[in-house]
This record gives sequence, C-alpha cells and structure tokens, in this order.
Amino acid sequence: MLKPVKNHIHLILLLLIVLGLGGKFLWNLEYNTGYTPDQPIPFSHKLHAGDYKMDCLYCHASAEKGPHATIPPMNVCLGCHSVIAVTKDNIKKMTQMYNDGEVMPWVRVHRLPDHVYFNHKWHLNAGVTCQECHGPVETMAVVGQVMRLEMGDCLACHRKRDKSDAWLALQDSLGTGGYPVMEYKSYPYLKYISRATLWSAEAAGELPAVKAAPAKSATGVFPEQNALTQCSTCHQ
Amino acid sequence: MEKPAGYWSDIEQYVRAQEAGAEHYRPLCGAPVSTAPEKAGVGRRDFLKLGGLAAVFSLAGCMQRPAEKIIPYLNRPEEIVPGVANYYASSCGGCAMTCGLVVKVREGRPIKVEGNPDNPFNRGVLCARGQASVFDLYDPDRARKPLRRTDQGAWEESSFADLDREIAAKLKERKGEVVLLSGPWHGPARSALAERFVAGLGPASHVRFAPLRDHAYAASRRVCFGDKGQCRYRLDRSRLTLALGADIFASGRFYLEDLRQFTAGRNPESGEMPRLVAFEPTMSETGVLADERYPVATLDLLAVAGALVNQLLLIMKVSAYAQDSALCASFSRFEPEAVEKRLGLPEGLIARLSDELWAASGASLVLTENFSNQFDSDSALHAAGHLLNSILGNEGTTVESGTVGDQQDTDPSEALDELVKRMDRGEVAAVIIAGTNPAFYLPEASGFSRALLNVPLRVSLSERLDETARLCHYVLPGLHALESWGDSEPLRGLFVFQQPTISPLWENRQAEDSLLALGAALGIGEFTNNEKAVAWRDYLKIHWKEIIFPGLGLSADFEAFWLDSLKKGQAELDLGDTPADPPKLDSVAVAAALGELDESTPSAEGEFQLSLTAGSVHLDGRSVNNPWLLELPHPVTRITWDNYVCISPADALERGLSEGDQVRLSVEGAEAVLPVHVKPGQARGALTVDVGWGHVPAGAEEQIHGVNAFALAAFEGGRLAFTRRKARLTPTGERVRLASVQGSADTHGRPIVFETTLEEFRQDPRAGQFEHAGGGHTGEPSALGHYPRATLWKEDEHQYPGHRWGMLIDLNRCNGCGACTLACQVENNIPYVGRREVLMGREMHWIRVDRYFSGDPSNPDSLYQPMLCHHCGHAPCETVCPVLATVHNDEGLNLQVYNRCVGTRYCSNNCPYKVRRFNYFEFSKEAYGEKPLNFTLNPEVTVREKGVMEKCTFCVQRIREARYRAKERGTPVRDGEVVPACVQTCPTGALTFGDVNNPESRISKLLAEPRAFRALEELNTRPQVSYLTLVRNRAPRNNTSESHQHG
Repeated sequence: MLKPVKNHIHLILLLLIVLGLGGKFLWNLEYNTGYTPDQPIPFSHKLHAGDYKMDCLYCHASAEKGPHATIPPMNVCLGCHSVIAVTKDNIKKMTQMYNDGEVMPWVRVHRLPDHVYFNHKWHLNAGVTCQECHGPVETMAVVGQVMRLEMGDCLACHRKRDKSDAWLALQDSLGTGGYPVMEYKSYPYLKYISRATLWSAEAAGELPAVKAAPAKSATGVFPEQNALTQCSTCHQ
Repeated sequence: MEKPAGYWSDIEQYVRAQEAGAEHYRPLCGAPVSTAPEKAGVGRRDFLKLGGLAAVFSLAGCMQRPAEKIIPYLNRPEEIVPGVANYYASSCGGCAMTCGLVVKVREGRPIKVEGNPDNPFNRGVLCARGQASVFDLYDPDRARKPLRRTDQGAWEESSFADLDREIAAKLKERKGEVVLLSGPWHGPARSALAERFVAGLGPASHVRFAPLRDHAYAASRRVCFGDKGQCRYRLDRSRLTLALGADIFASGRFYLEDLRQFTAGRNPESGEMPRLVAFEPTMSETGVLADERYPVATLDLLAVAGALVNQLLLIMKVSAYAQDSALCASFSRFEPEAVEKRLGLPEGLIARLSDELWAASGASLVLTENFSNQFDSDSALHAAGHLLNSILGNEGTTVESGTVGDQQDTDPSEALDELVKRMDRGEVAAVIIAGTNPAFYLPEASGFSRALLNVPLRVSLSERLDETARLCHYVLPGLHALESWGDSEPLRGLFVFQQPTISPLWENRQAEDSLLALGAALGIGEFTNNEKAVAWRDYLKIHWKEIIFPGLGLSADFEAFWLDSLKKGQAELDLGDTPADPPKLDSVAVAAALGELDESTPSAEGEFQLSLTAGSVHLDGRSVNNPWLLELPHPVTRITWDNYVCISPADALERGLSEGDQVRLSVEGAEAVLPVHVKPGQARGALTVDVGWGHVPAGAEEQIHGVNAFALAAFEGGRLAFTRRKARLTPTGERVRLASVQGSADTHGRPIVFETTLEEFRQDPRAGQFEHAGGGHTGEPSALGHYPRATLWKEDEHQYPGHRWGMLIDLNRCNGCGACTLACQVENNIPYVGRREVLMGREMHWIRVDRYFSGDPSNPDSLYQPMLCHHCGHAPCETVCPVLATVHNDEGLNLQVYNRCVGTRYCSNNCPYKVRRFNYFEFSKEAYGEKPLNFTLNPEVTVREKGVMEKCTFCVQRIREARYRAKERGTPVRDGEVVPACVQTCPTGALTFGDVNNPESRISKLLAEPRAFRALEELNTRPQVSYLTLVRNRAPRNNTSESHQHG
C-alpha cells in the first residue's frame, strides 16, 4: 500500500524550491550583465569620457572605420600621458610598459555570442549611439556590461528600424507586386584592385551614381534598406 | 519534345546499363564503402554515455565566463583597421603566365588571392592552382630555417650569416666551375641578376630546366623558322582550331589565356562559333571542349598531320608549297585514305577537315605543342604542324612568335644532359639549385641524382626540403610568391610586378637575396653596398631605374612610375618594337625532319604506347603538398587524391581489367605500380599517366600521394621522351578504390543538362530542352511542352521587393577546370576531408562540377555542369527542416543558420540537386587546426562545426559588404558589384551573378535568352540558378563538295 503523499509533501516542496532557485540561477548565469572585471590599471571612463568629455571615438577610433571598436593602441594613451599626470604610478607603469615594448593585457568586457557578425561602423553610420548598447559608459569608473548583448537585444532594435518610413513606403509601392523603378547605373565590373579608383572616380564625378541626397529614389525605394531582420543580415 | 541520349558518368555504369538493357541507366549509388574507421574511435553507446557526463560537467562550467584578454597594438600600423581588408596587387608564382593578382590581406595576413582585373593578360581570372596558393604560403611543411648537413648526414639548423660565410669560403677555394641550376627564370631584373652572378663568379654557367616545356617544339621552330622557338596562340582569331595531341588548356604555356580566348567565342547567339577539333591519345582537358574529337595514339598523330598536308598539297594542290616537289615528296607516304583506315578514323575525315581548314585560311590554327609530344620522331610532328600553319597562312595571325616575353624560355634538355655529363666527370665544383626539382623530374636513366652527388658543393635555395634539396649540403630556404619581390614579362612589353604582402613567415630568404648575399661575399662589386649585400628589393628597383626606365623615354619621374606600377601590379610599356613580318618557313628543314623519321613500328603483341600527361591542377607536381588541390577532382576523370594509368574500355575488356585494378607498368627498365582507370575516349593501345604525383614534398614519406610518373620517361641522347613505345601491363591481383566524386551521378534521363548542335540551335533556339514526362505536372502540356506545375505554396507567397540574386551558368563555356570549386573553398573556409572520406561521399565542396558522358564509350561527348545550391524559391529543404535552420530571405537567398542546425540531414535528403554538405567529423579542425594553417581561414565566414549542414550561400558576406558600401554611397548596389568567389575567378566567364529583379542587369538579359533553362524545372522548385544549353558546333554536313571549289 502506498504511503500517503502528505508525508512527503515537505520534501517535494523543498525540492521544487531548490530546483526553482537553481534554475533561476542557471538561467541568469550566461547573461553577464553586471560583469565588471578588474583591469590591469584602473582606467576610468567616468574621468575621461564623463568629466573631461573626451569623444568616445578619440580612443576607439576604429569604431567608425571598421567592424571592431578596438582598444586604442598604447601610443594613443601616451599621446596625452607623456605630458599629463606623468607622476602617477599607473601612468608610470604604462609608460614603462610602452618603452619596454609590452602591451597592456586589458580584460574584455563586452562579448557578443558566436556566429554573429557585428559591425560597429555600420551601426554608427546608422545613427546608433554607443550608449544604446554599452550603457552610460561615461558615468562608469569601472566599465561593466549593461545589456545582455543577445540576439533578442539586436532584434528588438532591428525590428523597430525595419518599420522605418522608407520600408513602409516600399511596401506601399509594391502593392501590385511590380518591380520598383530604380535608378540603376551599371558599372561594368567592380574592380577589386581599383576600389580606391572607383571611389575616387565617384568623388570626381566620373561615375554618374552619386547624388546629393540619394537615400530614396522617386518612389521612396531603397533596396538596401529592407534587410534588417533577415538571418543573413548578421549571420554569414 | 525529344529526349536526348542517356548520360552516364563512368564505364561500369554504362556496361551495367547495357547488360540490363535498361532504357535509363541504373544508378551506381550502391552501398557506401564500409571501411572500418582507421582511427580508434568511440562507439555510439560510449559516446552517449560520455555525452551525458559531459553535459553534467558543462553545467558546472556555466558559472562565470573565463576572463578574456584584449591586447591592443603598441603602435597601430597606419594602413590597418582591424577587421577591414587591404588589397594589394602582386603576381602569382605558379607558372609562366605570372598572372596579376589582387591579394586580400586581413590584419597583415594574405587570406585570398584573386586575379587582377586590370591585368590585360589574365583579366581578373585565376586558375585553381593560383587560388590554392594561399595554402602553400601557410603550409606547415615548408622549410623554416637555413640548414646545413653535418658530416653524419643529419640536418642541422643554422643561420644565414654563418652559412653565407661558409658557402662563400668554399666557393672561393673551389676548383672548377659553378652552375646555377634554376627553373624558368622570369623577369628582366631577375635575368640580369643571374647573368651578373654567373659572370662575377668566374667559370660559371646558368642552366634553366622545366619538365613540362616542349623542348622538341621549340627546337623545331628554331630549325624551321629560325625564331626563338616560342609562340603565343591567338584562339580569339581562330575559327577552326585543330589540336594534335596538344593539351593547351591544361599544360600549355598560356593555358588560361588560351582557354579564355577560346571560350569567349562560344557564343551561339552571334550565329557563328569557333570549332575545335582534337586528335589525342586520351580525353584531355582540351578534348572535353572539342566539337569533334578522335582518339589517336600519340605516335600516330604524325600520320594525321601528314595526311592533312598530303591532302592539301598533293591532292588539293593549294598554296605555293604545292610547287615544292621535295616537300611534297616527303609527305607522299601519308595517303589520307590509308591513314584513315589504319587509325580507324571515319572515311573522308581528312578531306573534310582539309577543306574546312583551307576555307578558314588565316583564321585557323594547328597546335602540336605539348610536352608529351616529345618522343623519338617528335620533330616530324611539329614540322608538319608548322607546315600546316604556313600553308593556311596562320603564321602571324593565329600564331604569334614575336609577342612572347623574353624570359619565358628554358634551356633545351640537351643543356641539362651536358650538365649531367660534366657533373659526372667532376668538372662542376659547385651547384646552386633554385626553383626546380630535377631529382624528382628526371628519370633514373638520366643519371642526374648520381651525378649531382659527384659535385663537392651543393646548395639548394628551394622553398621546401624537396627531393633535390635533400641531396644538397646546404639549404637556404626561399620564399613563397606572396612573400617575394620580383618582376616578369609574360608578353613583350607587359611587365608584371610582384610585391610581398606579408613579411617572411619563417627565417627564410628569397632565392634572389641568397644569390646577392653569396655574390657579395665573393666580392661582386655590383652586389655590395657599404660592405653589405644589396637587398634584392633594392637591386630590382635599381635595375629598373638605371637600366630599363631610361630606355623607355617616359616623361614621368621614376619614383612615380615605380610606385604606380607596384600599386597597379603591372606596366604596359611600348618597347618600340616594329611589328615583324611573320617568319618564313624553311621547307627544306621540314622535309629533312620528315625524312629523318624512323617510321613508327607497330607495337608488338601485348604492348602499349605510354604517354605521360599533365593536368592543369597539378602540372609537374609543384603544389602537390596542397590538400585543396589534391582533393580537387581531376577535370576529366573526377578522381581525387591519386594518379592512375588510363586505359581504353576496349583494352580493359580485352585484358580483363576493371577500375581500380593494380597493375605493374613496365617500360624499358622503368617500373611503376598504379591503379587502372578505364577511361572513355582513350585511344586503343594507348596508356596515359599523369605526372606530378608521388612527390615527397617535405621529406615525409607518408605524405606521398600517387606515383611519380616522371620515372617512366626516357632520357636518351640528352633528350627527354614522354611518350614511349613498349609499355607492358601486368595485373598484380590487388585492387584499390579510386576516390572519384562522380560515381553516382546519373541523370536517369531527367531534364538536368541540355545540349544541342549549332545547326539545330539556328533553327530552334530552344533546341535540346525537354521536359520529363513523369511526375510533378498537373494537366495537359502547353503548346511549348510546358506542364502546369504543382506547388505547395500560394502563388507569390514569397515577395522579393528589393534585390533577387541569381546565377546563370553557360554550359557552353565550362571545361570543368575546378577554379570555382577552389575559389569557393578558400573564400568559405571549406575543409578538405581526405581520401577515405571522399570514398564515403563526404567531400565538402559547395560548388562541384558534374561531368556527364554520352554516346559511345570509345569516343563519347562530355558535358560539364557546375552544381551548387540553387537557392530555390520553393525550396524543398526548407519545408522539412524541423528546427527552421534553413530559411528564405527576401532577396531570394536560401539561408543556412548554423547555430540552429542539429544535423537531422532531412534537408539534404529532400534536396533534388544534392548540393548540401554535412560535416560528419571535425573536418574543419583537422584541416585548419595546425598552425599556421588557421591563417588561411576567412574571418568573415563562420567555421562550421561537426554535425552541421552547410552549403553555398552565394557568398552572402560579399553581398552584405556590397550592400553596406551602397548604403554608404546612397545608391542601390550596382550590377556587377556583388561577385561571388566562383564567378570572380571563372577562367572562361561561364558564371554570371546578379540581381534578377533589375531588368538592366547582365543576368536578366541573359535569362531572357531562349537558351536559358533551369535544372529539374518540372519539380517547380523555382531555382535561382539557371543554365544556358550547351551548343556543339558539329562537323558541317554537305559542304564537302561546295568547299572543294576553294582548292
């Protein structure tokens, strides 16, 4: 005969609570929000970006040139610190390292999941500010992760922007399923070697493509706009 | 519509089908080979147990992620933006074409090379070997340090400074001459360097040797025309090309240019198409493109050429040469009818071809140049070829002798023979070997290796520890082309420059630098500056500045010219040549060459004629340590990882041999054990073996693939002979499986590939296209034979509002060279899998080239079809994926989301094109795990894991990049701006990519051609990949009588 369940109810409850707490703990583990590691020297964003109002791009200059924002090369630090605050221990330490040809082993804070190809330049050019993903860095004495930086975060923003005016106009114009009339200027072959040539030709007005405010054509269609929530937008 | 003949892909399949009498040939996709795993693996159950355990422990690892470091630059180089590629112009070191390159460099490391579109010679395209050269750069088996052989015979690492001193001291004390033994020595500055080195060293000489040069051809040109012995063919000007054993599209000097020029004319829409007729011992890379092809053993080619001359001069009596009675007499023995009968050629063929050739006078081309056309009576064949071209007035039009750059020649093999004799006699005190590997190339009969050991000082400047380097005392390892400086002159006046795109990976030094260092140590004044050796980079520049530039009469400043040339990769200069008259043929020399001929004796019973051949993928074996190339299927046989002896189906049947049987091949003393490949289109009595295999690239015997067929060549009287009379086959009783990638590709008579003839095409531009009468249709066919098609989807359920990417492949141009496959492999981080896995059908190529044969196996037609993901509008793979890992985007791309994929492989099962590839093991780790091979990986493409399905993405990373540039610019992506890797490199321009939605794009216009079709269109998958029907320019009918009037 089975023992009454009542005898075990407290055990089952306890198990459920433990499982629940453990589950919640595990659930939250990978997010890394609040990850605030110690750095080899206590660099303060609050001081540099907040109090002195230095532009983020002064140090993270590659953010507007390529996919990676990058930690500044050491000579950028020394650019100021060869004259500023040179007596401080940490600056001395850094100067010494630089002179010895050693690099600073900074600890990485923000890390995107695998499989995603994120490009800082493209986001900057689209008008996304640093703080939208990295939080108010200019108030942080020690930088920590604010956003989860997971796919949901990306999509939340991409979905919003996907409903931009240009996209909606495009949808409207396609009511009949026709092909939007666009001003295509065919260039016979993109010369890989001559990318620079191509760009300079554009600048010199030799190629007819560039216009003053060309983001939309007459019909409001810009086919490059419509790819924000495709898998291939970020995965390749 | 009429259904064409069934296609078959190999002989076994054909024979089975014939036996079964089946209407459609049965597939050969029998049970996979059940080979026991070579590596001791973990069984399935153990795997599950371990997996469960691992899952438990991995939870423990979820605590906090491990701290990761970010290491900044100390001082960032100005030109580097992390994550952004730089492009540099340079040139390829793969062969004599020295194609212009654009090298993609990421964070200072070359990761991909592409043809330089500004180079007028290769015009942006590149062959498979060029594409694969990145692997050679990062190959871990390269020599990494200068080496000295100790007295005990072991290698000892040393430094350049020590070795320079040591070698220079020995060179000073030497008694005898020094020989610089090199491969083809390209470029004006390089030539000057070698010249100065040899002159400065006192008694010294320079011998250049490359095995795949047709020295007999060059010698014959020198005798018959008195020119330099090398020429460039203009297939773009030829309406009828006759290839007599000349495999120009594989081992020709300018094979990429020849291929491009020939295929550029294969445009039936223009109404005319150049014809290619081939007589050859084996189905070659040239023969597969031929409109007409006849299997003829190499030694019988002379009879064909002779019969053509006989027909033109003695029967038709055309051209002034017909008056030359001595000349005519020497061809009188080649009775056309007798020759046709003896060789089993169709009756009247010679007369018809002669008519056609004569009708195309000045725009025809007869080719005989091929290294395997070197045999005892070779000069007669070449002389007959020269005579044919002269009769037809092709000299100066389709055969250009003055436009080849000066440095392209190598010395005749007699020079090498002379060297061997001198080394044997002990007259050579020192030999310095650079860029050639004669110990591998030369058969034992040459005595080279033995003679070399007779030389007291042997120095190798080779990039790796190859066969010849292993016989040397010192190895001063050279550099890869991507680390080197240099110049070359492939065509007269076209100078291609080479600049390093990475600093030397190991402690190596370019061979030119080594010569300069040795020369400086020996006191050659020109090589010394402030008591130090001049760097090769400076020598190159100074040579151009002081010797070449002043003679050009350019107004520009030299520095500006130099920087501009390096930046562009080449300079086209006017050297003030006046166009010379075409050289006059010396008919006495031709007659003499024919007279000398010892009439070919028929083979004795059981004897075969062996010709050595070279494929475009491996050539002489220079990149045989490259697994990308080893796994690239041979363009004709589709076999990977091995070479083999090819035999005709009839001979195989007679001898009871079948595919993979091991045979002992013995030729007058030399022997080799090889597997048999029964090759359709092989001439009766002819055996062929590819050279370039059996190389020991890095000193490790286990890395050998295939058998060295150079060992079967003859070296007699100072001449190399690559075709031999008396080959015998003895089965050893063993059998291996050749790793063919084409075992099961049977069309089952389904509408996959279409072909037609020019004649039919002119009447009906849709000729050749048909629909399967089987399933997939609903209702009655329309007037055009199209059935209404069933679909699971609502019409226009998928919208493609912006771009819709598509690809179009012109079957008329493809010769299966594999450049697309390799470019894709490099661009998309595709792993190679090894011979064993290929046998299991697990190769990973995203784009493969299927080859079908049709017709009689003794001389079939061949047809190539590049096959890649079709990015179907109604994709069968997408409907069956249980985890939505494969989805569609609104530009028509079928996406594979790797991190969703759980490896059910349903998609692959449901794919009608069989283009999805499953990563069964850690292929990527095995292929690219060893440092520094990880540098070959493209950081812009995910490296796929075990258990994940993958396939062509249309190079989505390139689409994305182009889109971003367009966004930045503010205008839509231009036509031609997105170029996937395969399309970019295709040497024949068979592939076109673009936006199908854009009515102005090139692809849209081509799709409107009636020749455009889609594979398996009846399935209504709505693929985004289309093809253009193959059109063969068959022999014209009924024009024999008509064109007789020309005579």
